[in-house]
Amino acid sequence: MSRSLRLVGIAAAPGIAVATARAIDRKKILVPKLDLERGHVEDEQARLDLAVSDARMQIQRSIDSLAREGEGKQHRNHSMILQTHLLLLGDILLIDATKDLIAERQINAEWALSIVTDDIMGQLSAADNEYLAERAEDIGFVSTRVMRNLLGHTEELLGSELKADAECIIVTIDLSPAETAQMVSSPIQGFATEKGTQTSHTAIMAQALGLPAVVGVEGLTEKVNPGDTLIVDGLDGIIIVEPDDETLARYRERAAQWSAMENRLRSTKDEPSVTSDGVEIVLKGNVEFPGEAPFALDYGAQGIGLYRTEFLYLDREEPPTREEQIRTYVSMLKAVAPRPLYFRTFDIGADKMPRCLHMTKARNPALGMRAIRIGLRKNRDLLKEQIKAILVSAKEARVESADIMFPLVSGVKELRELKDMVKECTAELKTEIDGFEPTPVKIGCMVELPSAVLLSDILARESDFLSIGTNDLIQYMMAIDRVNDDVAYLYSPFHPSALRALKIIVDAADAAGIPVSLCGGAAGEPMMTPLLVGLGIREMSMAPHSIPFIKAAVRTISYEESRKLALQALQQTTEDEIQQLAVSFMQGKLDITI
Amino acid sequence: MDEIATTRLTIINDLGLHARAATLLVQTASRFESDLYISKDGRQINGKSIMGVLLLTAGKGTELEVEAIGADCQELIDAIEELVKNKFGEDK
Repeated sequence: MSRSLRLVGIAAAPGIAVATARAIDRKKILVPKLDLERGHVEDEQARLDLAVSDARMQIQRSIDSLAREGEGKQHRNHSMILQTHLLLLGDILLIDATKDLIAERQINAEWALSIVTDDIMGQLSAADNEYLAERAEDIGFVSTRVMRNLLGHTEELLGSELKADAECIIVTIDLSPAETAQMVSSPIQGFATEKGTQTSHTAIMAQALGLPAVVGVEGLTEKVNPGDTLIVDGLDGIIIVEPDDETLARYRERAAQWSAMENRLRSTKDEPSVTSDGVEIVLKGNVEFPGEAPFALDYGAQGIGLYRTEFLYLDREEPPTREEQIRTYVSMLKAVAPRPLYFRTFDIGADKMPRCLHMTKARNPALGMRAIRIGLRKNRDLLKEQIKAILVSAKEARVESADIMFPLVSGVKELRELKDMVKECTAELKTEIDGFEPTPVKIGCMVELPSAVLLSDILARESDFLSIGTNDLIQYMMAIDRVNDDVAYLYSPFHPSALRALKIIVDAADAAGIPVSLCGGAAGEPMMTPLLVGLGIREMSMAPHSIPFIKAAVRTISYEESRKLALQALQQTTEDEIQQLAVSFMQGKLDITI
Repeated sequence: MDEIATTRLTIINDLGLHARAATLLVQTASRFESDLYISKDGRQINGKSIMGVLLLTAGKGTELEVEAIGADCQELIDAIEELVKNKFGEDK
């Protein structure tokens, strides 16, 4: 008897996958469980002691380097957290209890540590106290550090686990960007997660990989057992657990239709992206890791309009070295050349807070220390090292210009500081490297804050190009938390305020005579295409798999009609009216729904 | 026989015995020879264990029974009282 359970979530990345479910439980993976041979208890306890004392040294080093960095309140707070970690390391409830358990059950240190940690974390979360629940993170942090030392390595624990398997669908609470990153060229067919929204990182990554994803499925991990047959319908946002034969057959057919259509669209790879009346719309891809670049070009990308660099900073203890960045950037530039590539400097701090920055998670991170704010006020060296790595990479890859765009600029003062920083980096590189002749630099200002929209005429005068990040822009204009499912209904690129903002920005760029590019979810939404083209956008960057759809949309519309549509849309009062206008405009033009 | 000193304290800082305060408390207690036990609603924990102190979940207004056992028990109690009275140096 088939269970055929239907769960509704948010369609985060299109496509349909049918495969077996594979559950990822981040906390419990890869803990080796061994019974000790007689007489090895003391050895095992000594191994634990060593791992703990290594951890103590590691934390002490962080405290020391923090003390060298500065004296501010943030530093003190952070240092205090590390002090707490040091105390936890010496705590009888954690370490002594683990030792006792090793002796009592005759098991290895990793196993004992995981039992003790789970027990404490269980008590903390049972306390029904938000503050303590957060402290569970501290204990998890300390325990993980000891665990890594025990295992004798520091790389991401999850890696081998994710790569090993046959075709499957990943079912989990949420995926970290670094975990998703490891799934490039793995046999994974799709994602289903309990948390997340259309614009959260998991969704963006799934889109980049061209894999269907449904996120925000309540109770998912309780209702799906590993090994269940699962359908991920990333078109309608539905998960079907253990489907009956009829459902299975229907979805197999839909999946086949979908991939046939995708193939048909992809065959347009070499066709030009021009409107029926001859206006060229440049379509580029958003990518995060070098492995993605060939996919993007294969989908017909005319360059990379958004190269996200956060990935380098996540899930590690130390920030990437300049050499490591150069290796990564050069391979990226070479993969894309001779097409252009826009680097976006690290946008970390909101839903992506790397451990290596040793910063505490703010209560409202989207409005806190994020992106260039970290680079300008908290850790200048971190941003300077990235800029230098980009400058050196551009030189090594022999590209025409180093195109750097800065996220989250709020006004021209920040933009000037950033431009000064680039100059400073160039000057320093000349003394650091013998005979360094810098590649010309183009500075792009991202417009994704309401303040930047209102100042876009001034920002445009002092930038080489503008780039509109619609996801953040809509989030900040509408005051909605992108990771909060409850307010996701307010997120719409069709919102009249979004349209007006785009018009202001495009007009400002035109007046200054500089190019403006649009990256973000709106670029990949075919119903938005006539509105964007009509507003004067000539360049868009999107998830690579969206390029064929958008190209199909571009080729069916005329600029003249789109311009009229946009003017009409600007007169509307609600997002529903605008969406309705756009949909009826595209009706019959585009045969890309199934 | 070991000396014993006891006191009753009310947590008066806004954040309660959160990580920073708990850390200061355990760090302070660890400087003394004497053992420290803290009870809340009849539940007793070791005052030199950060985890124990955190698990007390002592927010602002919580009453605690504090007991120190050992040669320098009174000094230890005095130090803890001082910390609590000064709101753990919490920023105002």
